[in-house]
Amino acid sequence: MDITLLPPTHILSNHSHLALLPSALPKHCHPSSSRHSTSSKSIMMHPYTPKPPKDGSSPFTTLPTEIQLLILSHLDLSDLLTLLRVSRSFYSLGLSPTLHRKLSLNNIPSIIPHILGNHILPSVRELSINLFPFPRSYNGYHPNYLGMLLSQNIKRGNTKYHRQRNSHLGMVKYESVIGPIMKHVKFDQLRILNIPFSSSYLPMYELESILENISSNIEKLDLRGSSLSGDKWIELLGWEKFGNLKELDLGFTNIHSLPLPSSNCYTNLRYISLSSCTSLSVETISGLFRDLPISLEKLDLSRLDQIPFQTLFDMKVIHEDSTGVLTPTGLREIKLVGIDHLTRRDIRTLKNWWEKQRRDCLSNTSHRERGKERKLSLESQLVDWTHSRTEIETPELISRSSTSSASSSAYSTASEEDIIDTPSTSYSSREYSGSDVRSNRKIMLPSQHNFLQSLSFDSNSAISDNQSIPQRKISTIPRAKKKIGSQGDHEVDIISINIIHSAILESEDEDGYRQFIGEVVGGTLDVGNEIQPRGYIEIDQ
Amino acid sequence: MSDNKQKVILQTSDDEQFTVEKIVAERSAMIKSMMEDLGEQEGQAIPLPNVSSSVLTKILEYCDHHKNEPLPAADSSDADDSRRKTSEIGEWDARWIQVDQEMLFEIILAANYLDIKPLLDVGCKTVANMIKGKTPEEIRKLFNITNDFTPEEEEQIRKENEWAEE
Repeated sequence: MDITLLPPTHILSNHSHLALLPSALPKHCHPSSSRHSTSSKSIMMHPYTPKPPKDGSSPFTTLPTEIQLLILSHLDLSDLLTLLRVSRSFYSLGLSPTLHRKLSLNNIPSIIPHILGNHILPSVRELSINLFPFPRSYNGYHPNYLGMLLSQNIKRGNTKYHRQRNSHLGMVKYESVIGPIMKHVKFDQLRILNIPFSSSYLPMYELESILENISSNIEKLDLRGSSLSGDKWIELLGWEKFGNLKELDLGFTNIHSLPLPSSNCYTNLRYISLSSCTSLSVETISGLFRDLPISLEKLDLSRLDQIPFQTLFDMKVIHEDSTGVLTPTGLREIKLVGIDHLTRRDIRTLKNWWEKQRRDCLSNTSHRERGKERKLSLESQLVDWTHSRTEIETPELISRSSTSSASSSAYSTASEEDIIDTPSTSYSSREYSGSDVRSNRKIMLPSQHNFLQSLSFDSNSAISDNQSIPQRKISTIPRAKKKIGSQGDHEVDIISINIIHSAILESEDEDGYRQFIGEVVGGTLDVGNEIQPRGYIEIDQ
Repeated sequence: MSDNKQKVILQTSDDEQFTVEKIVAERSAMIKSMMEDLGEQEGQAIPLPNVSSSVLTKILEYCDHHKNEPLPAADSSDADDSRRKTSEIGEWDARWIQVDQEMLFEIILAANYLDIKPLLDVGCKTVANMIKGKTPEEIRKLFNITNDFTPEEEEQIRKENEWAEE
């Protein structure tokens, strides 16, 4: 019997519920499962090790270097460093640049050893420095512990610096622990730099100088929880060199603004996280939304309580190029976890609205290509649209419709007037059976979109594609719901935007959901305790 | 499927001939492309001058066990990354590869020559697991390697890398 299936009242009234508790645990948390992990660990501790050849030959050393390196590529840094001591040939093998493309540091020596500084760091292309919550110091290597203590007092309380070796007393210059590391990194070949949660040890001026040194080859930057703040940092960095940047994480920083996409600095950006950037201005965010980079696939806006619903509603999920051709942007997923003022209805409204923009944009494209000229006023359509969903009929939405001139072209040639009564019917079979007869011409979709390029469908396939749109979790278009086609997953991919707004409730994982509900039930039990102060509940281990 | 039952003849370095199912032989990207080049010539043996019959016997065992799995995608860097991340070796593979060292390295060489990526991977991971967590002296014993460092030199390298040992 699963306790989470019981109504809270039943649990409260049933004092013999203790026996139920173990089954409420998700299966993987069950104590007996720990035995498995230890046994698998013991296998890992004693891997199969064949005896060395009796004749004293060394088959490993006769392997081609290429294969030796392939074998060593499965080792982590500490094993590679051990290997260096085996022999001279292993020493040079273990320092081969190909083995040190990726480096992840959890611990930084205060003096950079020769091997690290001259061999490993110059080969690094993907650097992750993970010193959170603060740098661990290696006991044997701090040149001046007193200096460290001093610097802690001089600089911000929780910040650790160490003294530069060559500085004279009186003009002591401090730099953070990762300063010496960065001197050895070849920035022009650095593709990935992750310095998450560095604010406790990396002051802003140093972070800025690191960012200044970064070349345009950088593809991924993780600056979560760094000391980046204000808006001066944008000028200090040449954003034009971030043209190759694919992933950017600025979460948990105090930045006030972002370089705006209108400056065309994000040509390859696929992911950007602004989660918990509480100082980020609404103007900056709406500036970003107005001109969402077309390459952007994932956007994390978690805990950005300052974004009003309207700003989200105004986000452009379709892109208009200079010739006025509209295409959906690459956006697939948007994270809105922990924005308290957004209700589930808001989320649904946003999802429907964004997806509608994209559907219209796609059907528009096809209509335009057929050369049909149709005029349908934006206003009436939007008002119709909002009215058709009585549950979200708010003045806010209607006023939005009159101001959204930016997306007006999406509707100017929308569909035939005689067919449309509300836009929600534009996906009825009627329209498409009509268009089927009219034309069999190929529909050319705008070429700047790769995934669209692959869709060179004629009008027949366009019909089936459109009919299958309702294959979505949330749909308030009842008529379209009736027709669920098996084809057209591709188009659904283009249209749908996955909104993650609650990590637990939206998860597919039933165990997690049960656990969450279990916690809620647990909360109810506490309340019960307060009401009946004499009662007690034992928790059985 | 009659197509899968097609046979291929493989000829090893020691002039032994193996008749195997096409689907088994196709695990080797090298044999597969060779078959495509040769076309449908019945009875023509594919020469494998770098592989001995004992090693081929062992490798065919592996190919037979995995014959129904999808072939790995032709060298994409993404696949390369995901392979490296999972250091786990399948249970059957782990038992299958418990051979002596000479055979192990011959399997690796043959897997490289025959271009059987998953097998090359299993072999390399097995050797890497043998090295993991060992001291330099243990590694020398494992691979019959003589230490050509002076004790001072070795100590100096050890000291330099102390920071990483925590």
